[in-house]
Formats: sequence, structure tokens, C-alpha cells
Amino acid sequence: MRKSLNILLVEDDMIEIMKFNRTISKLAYLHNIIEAKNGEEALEILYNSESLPDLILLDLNMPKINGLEFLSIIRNNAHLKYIPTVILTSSSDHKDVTECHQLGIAGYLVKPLKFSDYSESIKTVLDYWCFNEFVEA
Amino acid sequence: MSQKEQLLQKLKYQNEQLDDYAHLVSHDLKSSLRSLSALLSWVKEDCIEKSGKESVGNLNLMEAKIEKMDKFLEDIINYSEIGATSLKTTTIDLNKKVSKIIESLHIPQNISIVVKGDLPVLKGDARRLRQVFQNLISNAVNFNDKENGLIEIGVEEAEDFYTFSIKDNGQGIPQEYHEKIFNTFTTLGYQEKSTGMGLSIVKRVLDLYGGEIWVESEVSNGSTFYFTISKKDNQ
Repeated sequence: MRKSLNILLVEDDMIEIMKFNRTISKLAYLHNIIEAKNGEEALEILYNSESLPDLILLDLNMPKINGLEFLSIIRNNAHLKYIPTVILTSSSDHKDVTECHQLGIAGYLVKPLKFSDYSESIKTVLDYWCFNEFVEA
Repeated sequence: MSQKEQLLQKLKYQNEQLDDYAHLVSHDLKSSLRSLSALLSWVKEDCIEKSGKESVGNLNLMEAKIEKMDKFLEDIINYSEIGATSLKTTTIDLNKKVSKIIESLHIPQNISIVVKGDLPVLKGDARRLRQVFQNLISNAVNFNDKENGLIEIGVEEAEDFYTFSIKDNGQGIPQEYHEKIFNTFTTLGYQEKSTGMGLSIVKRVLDLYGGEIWVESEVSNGSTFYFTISKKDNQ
């Protein structure tokens, strides 16, 4: 079991980032978080870093390159296509859910209204990924 | 193209735009509401820590309002989606579908739900049909004021269509509201949580299917909602 994940968080909203960091800071394990404010920034990080993240947490509604566009780009890139990606969004829109699954995702999380519920679901997702075997890249 | 056709096309386009707009705005507001809710819970934590429990009363009220607003937005999204997304027709066993819906609802212990007889297997869009049954059943549950609540789901078969009924022994609806309740945003206000959208969603789905809905009700004795669904391929 892994105790620390390298996570790329793609999220444009400042308070959402605060929510995420606050949740992470209370977990038993220390994860390494890289933040990107939109799809464009996330791609730059992926293209330029030596090692790939274990997991991408992706918001859908973002400026410049949005979540769906970003997902479609990495799924069509031989080097990046296998990074597990979990969608983190407030939209349970049927079309979004379908499109994401068609492109290939490792999970689709609709952000609950309450912060305590949100924290709980983030913890569950990260705990799950700690138990996974990853391809070394 | 005739003038009438042109007008109709324009109207159709405007309607779609309106749905899209409602959809978009609701999603944005929902995201903001998530931020507000988180910030509020942190303020609440701080308050409890610093000054003891007394002062969080208003914060709890704010929390409840935010919850209601979220439910409201969810309903607007559901309502606007009905016209926007195209229907996907599959074969649905309503016995399975309805028991799944009942399982997914929060039903208090004093209320029992009975399905009378066999429900049919029909062709339709699974999500839309779920919205119809789910909203009617949860209304029957939420507005029930009896010590032993009873909700009965039944069906009668005619040559071309089914008539479904959802009967409760709840508080009933006064005659003057029997038509009004299907209008958007109308709520009789018995329930703090109600948004007034549930029945309009049901009506809109049934309109799409060419079905009808009506209510028979007696104040304090309960209501029965009837609706029809055609047996023909429900496109």
C-alpha cells in the first residue's frame, strides 16, 4: 500500500482549492499536490515534468481549456493516456457523465453540498488509490 | 416556408435557448453555493470554538437556506433537462424500476409503500420515468401527516394506455389547488423543503409522452394522483 500519492489537481476556483487542501491536511497520509488553474496549465505541467502524477483530479468547468477538452487531449496522447483521472465537479449532467466515461475516466465525483460530505468523499477516493498498483512512469 | 412555420421554428429555438440558459446559470450558481457552504461551515467551526454554542443559531439557519437553494437549483436543472436532452427508449420492467426507486428514497418507519398487483413492462426513457415515479412517491411520503402512513401504487390497463395511480392517506389537497399544483413553482407550503418544482417536472415529462395527469383528493383524508402512459412506442 502506498502512503503518499502524487496528485495533479486541476481546478480554477480558489475556494475549491482551499476545500481540497483543508481536507488533505487532515488526512493521515501526506500526499503531494500539484495545482493547475485550468487545462492549459495542467498540460504544461504534464509536458514539462519528468515524472507523471499518480492521479489527476479534474474539474470540468474551467476557462481556456476546460475539463472535457483536457481529458480528450490526454486520452489521445500516447504518453499521458493511462493516468487515472477522477472527475470532480458540481455537475451531474447526463451529457457530461456520458462524455467523460466515453473518453475514459477512473471515477466521476459530484461534489456534495456540505463540506463534511465533500471531505469524506475525497478521503474515500484517495484511500482507494493508495491501495492501487501504479505503472512506474 | 410559411410564416406560421417560421414562427414555430423561432419559438422552438427560443425555448431551447431558454432551457440551455436555465441549465447553465443553475450549474454556475450551484458551484458558488458549494463554496458558500464550505466557508459557512468553517466560520461555524470557528464560532463554536471561540464563543461556545449559543451564537451559531443564525449560522444554522443560513445553512438550511443554502440547502434549500441547492435543492431548488437541482430541480431547475432537472426541469430544464427534460426538454433539452433527447429521449432514449429502452424496455423497462416497472416492477424492478419502482422498487429500486423506493429503495433509494428516505422513507420514515411509520410509512409503508405497497405496490398493488403487477406493474407492466413498457418502452420508454428510464430517467424520465424514474422522475415521474420518484417525484410522486416522494411527495406522498413527504406530505404525509398520519401516524401510519400508507402509500399504494396501482395500475389499470386500457387498450392503448396504462393508468397508474399513486394513492396516499396524507393531508389531502383543497379543491381549488387541484390544477394549480402542476404549475411551475407552486407549492402549498406545508413543507419547508418543498420547492414547488416536483409536480411540474412530472407534468413536463408526461406532456412529452402525450400522457395526462390529474388528482383526486379530500382534505385530511389523502390524495390519489393518476397519470396515463401510452402503450405505443414512447418516443
